[in-house]
Amino acid sequence: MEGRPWLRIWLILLGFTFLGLPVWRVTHPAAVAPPKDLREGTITFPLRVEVTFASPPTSFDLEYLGATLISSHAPNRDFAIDWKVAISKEGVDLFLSAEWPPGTPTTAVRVKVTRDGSAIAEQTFWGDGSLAETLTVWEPKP
Amino acid sequence: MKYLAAILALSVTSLVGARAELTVASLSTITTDIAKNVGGDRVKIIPIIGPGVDPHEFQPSPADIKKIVKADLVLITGKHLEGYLTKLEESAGGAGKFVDTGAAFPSLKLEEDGKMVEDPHWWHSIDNVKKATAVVEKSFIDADPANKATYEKNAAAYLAELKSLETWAKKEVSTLPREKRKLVTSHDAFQYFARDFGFKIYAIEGVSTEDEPSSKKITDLINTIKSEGVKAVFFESIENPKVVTEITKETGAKVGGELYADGLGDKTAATYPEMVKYNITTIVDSLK
Repeated sequence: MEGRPWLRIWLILLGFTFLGLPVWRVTHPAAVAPPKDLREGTITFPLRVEVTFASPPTSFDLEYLGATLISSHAPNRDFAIDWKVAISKEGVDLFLSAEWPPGTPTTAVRVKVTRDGSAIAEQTFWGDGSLAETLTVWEPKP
Repeated sequence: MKYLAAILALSVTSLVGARAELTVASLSTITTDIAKNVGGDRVKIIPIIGPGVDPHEFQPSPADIKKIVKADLVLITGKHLEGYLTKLEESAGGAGKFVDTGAAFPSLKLEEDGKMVEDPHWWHSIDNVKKATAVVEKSFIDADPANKATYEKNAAAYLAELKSLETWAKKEVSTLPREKRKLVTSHDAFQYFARDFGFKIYAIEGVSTEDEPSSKKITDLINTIKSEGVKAVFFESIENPKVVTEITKETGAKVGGELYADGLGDKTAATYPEMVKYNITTIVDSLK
């Protein structure tokens, strides 16, 4: 081993990879493919969903029709995902839930949905330890 | 002498303890459930209306009035559901002990036969039930301040259960596309639910179960169900499902199942959280 510095470096890198992978999984949202949504009589829109926290929650989930768009434990940063969805005239609902550490005072989450940079739905939700809310996104005006 | 004083003190304490039990009459299964949760073992509940009784058609009997007269408090849902209330208050010796749980939040107004009427079915909004719980808690504390801490603790626990129920309900309904949230029901009892969860209601009867639908209304409803592609029609636990069955035959929609509209049931929906879970699961599963 003493005469093989490359082997030592390689073993250290391997160790970091094994240790780093679980840490990366915990601190970053699971990349889940958005559900296919091509319902009859609806138009599909490419959208961007941005989520901003006033204080970091211990867990955060964003769902559409029961399928996960974002799921994260201990997120330490804000999120933004690109999402393609078919929007009927009745709109679509995004369901978001979050939990904060015990003792966290009332805090806020801002969810913004944009199309080509323009906001089509935007709302601040208030959480008191936890929150479960729905944001309705309407068909963008031409 | 010391022993005598101790025995006397003990007797007084037991007498005070015995009086601390509050007697509460309840004119709805919903207020009965709230009262049980807030009152716990400190309150004796007298349910005047039990599961399966239609509150729109209910009239208190002389035996009911006797029980109400003896009660310390009487819980009502308000918003004109208890049409006999004024006479009952006169019989029971004044309105002082009547607690209007529905007065804590605004009413939805519906048009019926050209007039605006108050929708009394406020318990289909979980948020309203939270506010009604606070009203019940305050009324119990005012009537029995010795047990204030118990009522506060019980109410906080029940409010936490309602918050968890609300989370479940929002998540469950979010799995149903908004264009499928069309609810055909026996009578117009789900407008608060529709407001909170983004549904559109098509009711066979009006706000009260006493209203009879005209043949024109049924024809219009059949046409709407066909044009809107509504998948299921629901009947209610205390209603005859015959008209619903006829409509499903005409439209091809299926019978979605039984809903609890006017109060709790005695088996599957014996508590308020059970009723909400039962109704939402039935609706979402049938309309998906």
